[in-house]
Amino acid sequence: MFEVKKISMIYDMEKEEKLYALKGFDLSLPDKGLIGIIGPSGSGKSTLMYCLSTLRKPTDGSIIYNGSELTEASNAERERLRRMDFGFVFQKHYLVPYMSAVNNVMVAGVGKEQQIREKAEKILKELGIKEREFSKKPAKLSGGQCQRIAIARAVINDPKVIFADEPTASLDHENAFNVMKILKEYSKDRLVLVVTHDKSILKDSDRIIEMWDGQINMQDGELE
Amino acid sequence: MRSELSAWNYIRNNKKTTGTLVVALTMVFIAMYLTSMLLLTTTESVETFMKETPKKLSYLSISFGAYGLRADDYASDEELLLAYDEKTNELAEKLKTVPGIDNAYYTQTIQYVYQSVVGQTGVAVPLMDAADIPGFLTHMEAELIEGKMPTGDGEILADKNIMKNGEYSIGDYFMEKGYGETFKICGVIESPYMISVGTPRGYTNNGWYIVVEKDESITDMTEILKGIGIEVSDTDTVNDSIAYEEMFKTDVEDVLNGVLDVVYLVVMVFLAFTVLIAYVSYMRNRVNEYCLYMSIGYSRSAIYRMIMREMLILFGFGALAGFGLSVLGGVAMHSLLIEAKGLSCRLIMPEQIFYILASFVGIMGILQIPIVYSINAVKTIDAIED
Repeated sequence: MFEVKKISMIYDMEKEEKLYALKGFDLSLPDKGLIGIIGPSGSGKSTLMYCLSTLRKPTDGSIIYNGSELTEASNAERERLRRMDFGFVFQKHYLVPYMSAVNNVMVAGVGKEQQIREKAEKILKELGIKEREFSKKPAKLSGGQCQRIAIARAVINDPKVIFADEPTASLDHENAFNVMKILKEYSKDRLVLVVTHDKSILKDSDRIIEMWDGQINMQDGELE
Repeated sequence: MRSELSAWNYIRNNKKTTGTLVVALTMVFIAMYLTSMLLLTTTESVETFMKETPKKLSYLSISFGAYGLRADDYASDEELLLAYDEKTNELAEKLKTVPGIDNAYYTQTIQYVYQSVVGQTGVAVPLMDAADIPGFLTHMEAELIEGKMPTGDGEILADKNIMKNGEYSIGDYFMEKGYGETFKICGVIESPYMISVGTPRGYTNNGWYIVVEKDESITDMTEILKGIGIEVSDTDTVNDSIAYEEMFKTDVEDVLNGVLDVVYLVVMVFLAFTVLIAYVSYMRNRVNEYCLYMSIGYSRSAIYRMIMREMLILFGFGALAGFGLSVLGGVAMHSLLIEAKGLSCRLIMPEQIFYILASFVGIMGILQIPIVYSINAVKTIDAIED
């Protein structure tokens, strides 16, 4: 699905001592499966995810997604990909505080309102959110519930890829386990990329990419 | 692909915040509309005196010089005055022969001070023999609706609006503050020209004039006078349609419109400032929301359209509620303050509604600055998380 060639990302381009977040490596990602990207803070794992998801443009190199070069895509094409092909789960849930749970899911939906509503309610139920919680606002829901609503928002358009950046960082162990279970289930016929520095949540992953200092340190590594 | 963000989500879920803005806009609409109504009550009320009445009635006061009379040519003032009266009556007779003039006579007038909401206007009331009054009323399309016709000296028929304006009843003394117990109201008349008329009593008056009863075809009395050999100058008084039209424009319309413009400007500057602060605050509180929209694939223009739709809905509600409540307030003000004082004003003033809506559009225009600035500053969530 993704073919990455010699990707590099430089921050502080104007400074004399450039900061390389990604240092020109190649990477190939399949159409489905749960893939973990691990590494310490500053290793470049989040930058890699942002580049793959079109949120950022790499300084150099190429990212081919389903045969199309992402680094040359127009803004409209990048927006279309983020709406239709990609789903996002961020470290914080980023739910809109004044919207109900169901509206927070619907906000990302594409299509007719009634169909989106039905789909949003179905996904929320599948993710274990009870019907009585649908109308509640994020402030009235637990952290785990909010992150599940964020996952529902990410999958509302049946995206081909889900990008999850530290999706369990703000959750307790039980909720973290449940969120990963949901993502694992979704990865059966879709690609789910999970960026984390917590190896324990990746025990069911199909592949792990370990990053260090802007480079891939190890691919297909077995967990210790 | 559904690419529009709903404007209703924010409005429905933030009723206090959005309601405050709607209430503020509604209050501004009401304040502006009712202020306009009060000021325009003066314009519209005196419009009858200054634009309608002169179509049927003109007042002329010709100077000695215009008749060619010089004090040096007469042995005494009495002789001079006699000569003046003779010339004036001659002029009145000549005017009667002009096509379009029904009657002309040299007579006394008194003045009624018509009180409006803002300011006052002097209105001439001709005094004539009781026997001449029915003819005058016919010319002015007036009808006695209460009381009786004058029979003796010092009796007045007052227009029904002047009765209300002066809080008079039949039997009261007309303009008692100015003329004392001289002119007693004996009847009430109704006329499209809002005129009053009475019989003289001694020399108590507001001056002597040639009263010209005419039709609408005659607007320029200066030309008519010129045609019969009288060249008028600045020392003469020719109160015809043209003179009143000009007075109405310069002394009433321009002054009150100027006041109205200042009121509008002050209110709009205040409102623009307040709404600007409120909007900047709204948008700051919603930065993360906009960042989310950008991150999940909405374009900046989709976010901008959502903000604009929200704004249009809020301003629309403000304008609608403002208009509805203004009309209700206008009805109350009309019956308690305007009609009760014999004044007049329209309840629905399309041009004022247009000005207020134009002001709202102007404020929405000013709000484009912080909106466009904020939209351009919106980043995707990766930038926030860095």
